[in-house]
Amino acid sequence: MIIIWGWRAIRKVLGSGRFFCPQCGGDTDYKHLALRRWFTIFFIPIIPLKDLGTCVECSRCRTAFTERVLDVTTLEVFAHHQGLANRAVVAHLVSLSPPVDDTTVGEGLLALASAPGVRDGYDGEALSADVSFFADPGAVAAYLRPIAAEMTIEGREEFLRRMIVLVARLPHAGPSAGLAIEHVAAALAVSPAHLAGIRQHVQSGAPAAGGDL
Amino acid sequence: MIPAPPEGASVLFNPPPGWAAPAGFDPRRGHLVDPAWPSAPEGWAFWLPDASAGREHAALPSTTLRPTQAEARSVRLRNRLIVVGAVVVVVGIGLAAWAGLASSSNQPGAGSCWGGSSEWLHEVPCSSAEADYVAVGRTASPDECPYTSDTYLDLGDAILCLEPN
Repeated sequence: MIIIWGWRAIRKVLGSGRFFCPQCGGDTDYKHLALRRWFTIFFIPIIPLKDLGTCVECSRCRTAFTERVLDVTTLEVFAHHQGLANRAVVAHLVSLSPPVDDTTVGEGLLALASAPGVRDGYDGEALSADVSFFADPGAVAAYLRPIAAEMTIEGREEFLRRMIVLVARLPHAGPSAGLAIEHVAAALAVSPAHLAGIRQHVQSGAPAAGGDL
Repeated sequence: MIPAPPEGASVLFNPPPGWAAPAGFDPRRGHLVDPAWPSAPEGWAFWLPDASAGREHAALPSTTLRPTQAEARSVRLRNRLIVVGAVVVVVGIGLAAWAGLASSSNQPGAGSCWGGSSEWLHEVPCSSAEADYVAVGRTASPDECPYTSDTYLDLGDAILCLEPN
């Protein structure tokens, strides 16, 4: 009688989801895998042997990564957070410039019209709701935190430039709005000297250097 | 407020109706809820079992597809059948080996007693009055029998050396 025996790596799917694949350069599905070597008889796994560890596998290119790859947000989630951060700061600045009349709301909507991540159809009613929610500086800080670590320097500069322009255009903006800009810069890890340079750049009327990413 | 997922379970986030959550949105990874999204219905299940979780072979083409819940159930059923089949195979091999050993141990050997006519011997209890001969060895040929053995029994695959009892 012939007995066919051997070893085989069997993988167990621990979970799945969507991630940013560094190899593909875009958002794809992934599988979180645990691998273990098994002793097989007639190709049937009988005895579990060595634990081969865990990995994250891209469903498109099949490249395996360590779990740290999941720390990077997907492009879609980054855009979602970017839109929220823009709305949060604009709404907070509007809340610091009472009364919130049509002109103030109009300036806020104008600032958000060119902001990335803000959905089409965002209107005055939506901004009024955001003003109520983001009047609290703690809420603004919480919604800035996710993008602070992932935004490029140029993106932070463009973000702050947009807010500085808004404060300059708000009819009732007081010193508290300027102070809020400093808090936003600190949350984005932009130094006071760097912020002063951006302010100077805006006041000189120079065009923006780049995008918001 | 999104409740924490059950510990140890493979689950996926299930956004409530009206939530325009981007693909890959997962509160466990620090993703934030849009304050404009409506409240979730009472008792909404924010976490659903991940149907793709389970065991699979690295080389199977099914690994390229995300299984639906029905497929996941059939995969689990198949895995159970494989485990049951493996157990049956192992038990079968064990039983066959045991049966082989048992049959070989039942073959007559030294110490067995034989009686009957000189041409047609058959195995009998040693306490029987018919026990005319006692086997003193099992060899491949009559020449290998001890000199005290003057009779032998040809079993076909072996020679049983006999002495008068």
